[in-house]
Amino acid sequence: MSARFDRAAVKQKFREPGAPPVLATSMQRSLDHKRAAQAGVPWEALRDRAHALKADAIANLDILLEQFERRFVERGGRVVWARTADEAADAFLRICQAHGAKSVVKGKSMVSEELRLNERLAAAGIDPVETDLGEFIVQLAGHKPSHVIAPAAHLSARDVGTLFERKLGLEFSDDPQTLSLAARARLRGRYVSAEVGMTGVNFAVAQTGTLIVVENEGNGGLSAAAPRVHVALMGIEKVIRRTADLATFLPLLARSGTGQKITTYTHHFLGPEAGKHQYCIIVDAGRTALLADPATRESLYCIRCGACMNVCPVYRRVGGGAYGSVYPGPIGAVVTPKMVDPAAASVLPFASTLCGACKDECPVKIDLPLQLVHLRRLAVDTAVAGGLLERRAMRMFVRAMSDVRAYSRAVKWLRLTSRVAQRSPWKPGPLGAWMRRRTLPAPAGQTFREWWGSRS
Amino acid sequence: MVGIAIVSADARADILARIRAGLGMEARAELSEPPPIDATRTSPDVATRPDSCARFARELAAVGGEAIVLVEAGDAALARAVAERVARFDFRAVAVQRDSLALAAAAGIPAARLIQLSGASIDQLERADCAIVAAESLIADTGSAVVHVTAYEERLLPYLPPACIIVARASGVQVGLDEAALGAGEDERGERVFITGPSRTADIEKTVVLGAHGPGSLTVIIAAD
Repeated sequence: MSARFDRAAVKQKFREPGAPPVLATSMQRSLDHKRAAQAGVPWEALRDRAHALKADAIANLDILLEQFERRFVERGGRVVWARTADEAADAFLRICQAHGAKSVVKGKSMVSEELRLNERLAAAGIDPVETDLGEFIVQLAGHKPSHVIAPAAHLSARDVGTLFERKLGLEFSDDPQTLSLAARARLRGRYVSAEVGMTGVNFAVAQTGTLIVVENEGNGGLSAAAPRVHVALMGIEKVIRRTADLATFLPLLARSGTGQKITTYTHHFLGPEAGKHQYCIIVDAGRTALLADPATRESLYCIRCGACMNVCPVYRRVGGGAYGSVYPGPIGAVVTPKMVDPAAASVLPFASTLCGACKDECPVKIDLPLQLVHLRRLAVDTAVAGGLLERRAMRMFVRAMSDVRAYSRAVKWLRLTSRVAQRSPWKPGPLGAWMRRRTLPAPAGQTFREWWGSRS
Repeated sequence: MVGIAIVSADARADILARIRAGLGMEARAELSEPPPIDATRTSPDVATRPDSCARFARELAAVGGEAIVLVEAGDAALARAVAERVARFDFRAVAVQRDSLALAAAAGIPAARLIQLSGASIDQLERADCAIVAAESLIADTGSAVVHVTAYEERLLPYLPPACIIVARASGVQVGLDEAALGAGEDERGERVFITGPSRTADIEKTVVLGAHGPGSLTVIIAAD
């Protein structure tokens, strides 16, 4: 299998941040909506409860998955287990072929991105139709989703208008209403003609064997209901113990994701009715590796609301595409090395200022900064990160900090070199990239100690 | 069932073994004690029922839907209110869920304006301009209607036609999610869906647009007890 994570390209994108201004504006809008929606509920108490419920579900994951499987099968569904993303995509293709599918209507699913399902379907001659507006836009543009709940967050209304004009032959418009309704009209007929419908899964309830999917557009409902076959894709971590737990998770997810009290549609799939087939593909794809390390286990509590991205100063500056992963932002930095490609371990955990905003925003209180620091330590210990230069610099730093004379020599040297660097037109390396966009502050005329000593 | 070999026993056993190894546990069959559930509510105030109806209407209006609370009791009053609405918006192809409340609510609509949900064909449903479905209950705190669609041809009703009328009884108004029917009966099939306002999207610049793929117009008519 070819490498999925392009290390060099990602490093370059972090060096030269390229997110369009529309991204930061949209992210701020999302945060404002979230804050307003939080006000009406005992937010902190709900977060604590959600954290405890997820901790319990993950601590009992094996039993809950078996229980879910048993009840789901009792309802008439079929369960397929997949160790890897490729195994899951194979299973999906076999289901499509068994039912003679020529096209698949797809509701929103991040697991589908992990599987690279669209490529796999297209290669097998099956037409994948993304129906979520954001996914439809990025599929049309040939992009990857840049945000877990707003896949087209990196595109402005003008961008979308130009895209629709070019690819769909529509008259240009930069009005979100006109554009959204154009996509609606385009997709109407596809639901009824598709043989297979796919959705993701937000929660799988072990107690009842039911699948919970939340969405706003109605495309998820149509994708699940219209074709004769419904395939739900879920990671192993989606299972929860009881239906009563939904009263905690649904309000947190809707408020954190979009600032709503509850999403427009909360689907409870109860098992296939007469004339219908229902499958659930349960995917590991690196999740058990996250589970095995107690320091990263909490990342499996994630309910994919996207709030950590909305608030992250790095994400807002570089955009989701820069992370080179299905999962961007702080949570992406934690899960990508295990879930997508180990090559990310030397890059993504370092793409954070460790400011802690993501932890404060997370509705299930995942300690993301702690996990990032842990992954950095792992990366350095196993020497996949931190080049020769960095290790030298660190040794010099340790020397300077442990000896007064070495320290004052180092300070003099730094003042000199920073003056030189300021005037030099030659700005190489990462420091150069930093300086091309910022002004290096001029060093003070004298050090604090010199000034203190000169006081009369 | 289609006879295909899609179940890999190896994958199942491997994943469960990896989980147990990751958790540092042997195979076990018993769940540990669940964490205690405290009394924290998602809907802070417990309102009385008359307030709940008004609360429901306010919450639904806030997300772009409309609630009509009938004063006069009985199915005849409900049927009149529905027929009036169908006439006012000139719906010409109305599809009705085969549910006693929904059918009673549709009793006043002229037969020429109704679509029969016949057999397995859902092609007819594509030309429906309005759906009428029944709510099992309503959730006042969120403005949600709880709808259970069981038959294949009924499952598209809440999503496909551009307008949706949901009929409910005032006795079915719940206070909040904490009281809502989140469970699922063993014999129930199809889908139970909480519908909160018309379909919407904010995928372009976070600007809200109603009528994304589902109905752009959603009305809940609440019959008095």
